Amino acid sequence: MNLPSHRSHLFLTELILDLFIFIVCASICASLFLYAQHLEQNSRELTDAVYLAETAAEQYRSGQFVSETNTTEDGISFCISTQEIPAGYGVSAAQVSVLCDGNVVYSLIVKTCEGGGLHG
Amino acid sequence: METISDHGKNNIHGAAVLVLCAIFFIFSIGIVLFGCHIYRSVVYASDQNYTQRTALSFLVNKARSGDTVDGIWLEQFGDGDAVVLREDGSTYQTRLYCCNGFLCELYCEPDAGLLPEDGSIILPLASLTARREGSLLHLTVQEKDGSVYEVSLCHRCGFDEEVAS
Repeated sequence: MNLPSHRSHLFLTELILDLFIFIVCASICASLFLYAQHLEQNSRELTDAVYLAETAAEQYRSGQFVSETNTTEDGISFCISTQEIPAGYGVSAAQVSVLCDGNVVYSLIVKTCEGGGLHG
Repeated sequence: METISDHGKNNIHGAAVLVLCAIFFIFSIGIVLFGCHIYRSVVYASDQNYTQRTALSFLVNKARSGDTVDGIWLEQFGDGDAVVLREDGSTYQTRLYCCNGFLCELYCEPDAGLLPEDGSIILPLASLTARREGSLLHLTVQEKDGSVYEVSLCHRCGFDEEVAS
């Protein structure tokens, strides 16, 4: 048996195994990084959507009816839709939804007294 | 004794080891650079998110707390807009404005003679713009990197028509 050649084979096998383990670990790390970025993007979207919905709700309270498309600083395009929903006597209500790519990111219900007074 | 064939095999093994080391090195550098890029973008987005939420929440909550009859109006203070709040039955006023790259708050009597620089610093912010449109108060803040965020709120008790600018 040729001992140096055998050692060389072993060394090469060990290196390949090390590289394989490294690639597996690196793939896991990379997927975690991408997941963190995805979470951060979702968080940004939600923050933008909350303030857009809040603004639309306040506009509805002041008597304006808002349905528009708004592009934020991040370049994300949101569609704001305000739909009136049935409410009690003397109260008007609407559901404000903020959509991104057809999916509802955030929605809230706003109510206001028809006589002019305002409710939460 | 090493033959020519063995010598050739050793050369191939040596080259394979070098190639594997090179791949290992390239992957290591790649994963470090990728991680740095992601980390930087996450921190940047997180900072922006923090500034947007903190600044807008602070202004909206302050404006809501001053939602009384003639309790809120806008004026020029220093070189920008200021939202001025007055509590019921109090002569003291709270001014919210931007000065020297910071959102500031100044709580004092109207004729105290205090300057914009005398306010308490809340957080870094390039500018604050406030405007009225009927019963709506539009607040726009701009970060130092140029990002602009805005929010509107409906003032339930009406604005002070006499002093509003």
